[in-house]
Amino acid sequence: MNFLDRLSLILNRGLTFVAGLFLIAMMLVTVGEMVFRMFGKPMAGTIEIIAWLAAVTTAFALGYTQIHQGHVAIDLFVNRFSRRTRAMVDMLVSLASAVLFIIITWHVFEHAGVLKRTGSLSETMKVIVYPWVYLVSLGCGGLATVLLADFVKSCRQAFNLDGGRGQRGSAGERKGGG
Amino acid sequence: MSPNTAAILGLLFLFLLMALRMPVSFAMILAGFLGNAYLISTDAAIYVLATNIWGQFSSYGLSVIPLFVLMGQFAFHSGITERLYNAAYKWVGRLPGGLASTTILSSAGFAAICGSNSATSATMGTIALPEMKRYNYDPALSTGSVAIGGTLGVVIPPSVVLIIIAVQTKQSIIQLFIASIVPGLVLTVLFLATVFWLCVRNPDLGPPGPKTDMREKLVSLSGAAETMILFLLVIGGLYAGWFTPTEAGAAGSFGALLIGLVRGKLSFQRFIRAVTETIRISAMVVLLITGAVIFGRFLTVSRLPFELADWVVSLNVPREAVLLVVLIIYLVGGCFVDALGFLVVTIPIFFPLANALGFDPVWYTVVITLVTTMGAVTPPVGVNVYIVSGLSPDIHIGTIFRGVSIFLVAYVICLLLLIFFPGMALYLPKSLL
Repeated sequence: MNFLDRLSLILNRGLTFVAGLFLIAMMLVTVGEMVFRMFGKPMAGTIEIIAWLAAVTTAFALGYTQIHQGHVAIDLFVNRFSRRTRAMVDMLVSLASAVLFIIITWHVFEHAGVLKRTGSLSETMKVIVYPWVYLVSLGCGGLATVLLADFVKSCRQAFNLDGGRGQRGSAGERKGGG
Repeated sequence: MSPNTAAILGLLFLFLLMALRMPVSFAMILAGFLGNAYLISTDAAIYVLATNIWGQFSSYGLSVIPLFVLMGQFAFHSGITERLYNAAYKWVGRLPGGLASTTILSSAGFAAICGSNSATSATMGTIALPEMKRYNYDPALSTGSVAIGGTLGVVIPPSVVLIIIAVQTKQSIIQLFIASIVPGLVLTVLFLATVFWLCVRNPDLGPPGPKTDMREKLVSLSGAAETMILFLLVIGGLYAGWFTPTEAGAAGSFGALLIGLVRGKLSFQRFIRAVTETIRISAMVVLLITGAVIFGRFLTVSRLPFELADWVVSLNVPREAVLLVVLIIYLVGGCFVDALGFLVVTIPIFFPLANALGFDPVWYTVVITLVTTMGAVTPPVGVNVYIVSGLSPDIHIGTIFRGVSIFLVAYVICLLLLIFFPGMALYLPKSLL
């Protein structure tokens, strides 16, 4: 396992842990608000809190989902290629995906900066929003790291740098969520 | 290059990326980003990208997805299925092919609290397959009934696919849930009839189980009570206007968690597994929707979907013929491409077309949900079949596809009924909401 692999695993393991906590928090906050409402004491701003928790839950799980090949993809055509061609295709696809998510990470980060500079506040609770946007950018960064690690792995395979070891175990593992 | 040509090239580029195994969501974001950069400007495309990633991820409307997935996962890991299976067995186990019918009936019950076809197949398969093997059921019938029963997870509400379509097309989630109740029940009855017909013709396929008296039948209903309570809480609460869809998902997952804890079935490991599975599925689904929104924006700017719709309307072809073509595209596409990915990619193109042709959006949604769900059991990428195959490695995958194929007739009958009697989907929402 190379450095990038280790880094992406450690980073995404941490992010997944937080995502799990936020998911449970989402459920509890929502149920709690319903209970308070039943007793005639609705909590203002719950919708905003739930939406932010959901944003971080999803963003922090992006990398973990990629590690487990959970983003829906179509194996049908590439599986017909030779191993080497497949590794070349994987290399190009993971490079393009990594570049895309580096761009996304950077621009979501910049978007957070804009919200910070302009002092943008949420509609109901009138609190700052930008920290949540930074967190979403961090989640996208987690995915970019996995994709970079995938790129390095497929380079090694395409150019046979690891003597045929470490095949990508993605085929057939991809799952739909329907 | 005209905007329409750019959109067609954008679509071809999207399909190329997908064929090269780029995840569907990444491909839609990339193609949409490049398309927006070409048609508007690079700065605008970057702005659309950053604001949509944040905007979709932090959308309260989308927060419904992780909570409904969590409800299904807690139900999956909390032993609800075994009690449902036992209850269903007492009622239909005596019939020819009783265990296969039990599988389908309990799948329908589980579908009422879980919106995923893969979770329904997996949870039912772990209980039903060993039972059917013990009673020497034909492997094609046993595996086929589990795989096809799993598809009810998407058709019977709550359904993750219906939520995704509702979010993408800005329809009411509760309206779609209520509209799919009758088609889901009709499909269940058609599956049961298929098992009955197969086993009456050839009793060796699935011998009937022992007789049970009415007292046993009534007592067994307690096993289905918790499922019923959860279903009524979620769908009833939504219908009565007590909850928003997100709150219904939270109440449902909290209820399923409590059932798991009270019954002592939800261990800490299972709890962790349910949570990690939920965040994995949610990240996949939310990124898919985000990709569809970014790509959809590009298509909207190009105006291709609207011009395509206008062009099809100007052809003066009967709208049913157009619908048939669309359904065939979904059917064939669903055979080769993951059903959910294909659905999300095609909604921005076909939904405006269906609107322009005057189809009721609720009815159209139920129809395409049925058609795309068939993709979960058709070769070569039917996900349910692979799940069942994983649970019974000694049975050849071709046998499972063979077992499922006969049930596809039930799907076709249900679709025809829905096309000729749209009230099947529309009557309940119109009279209740």
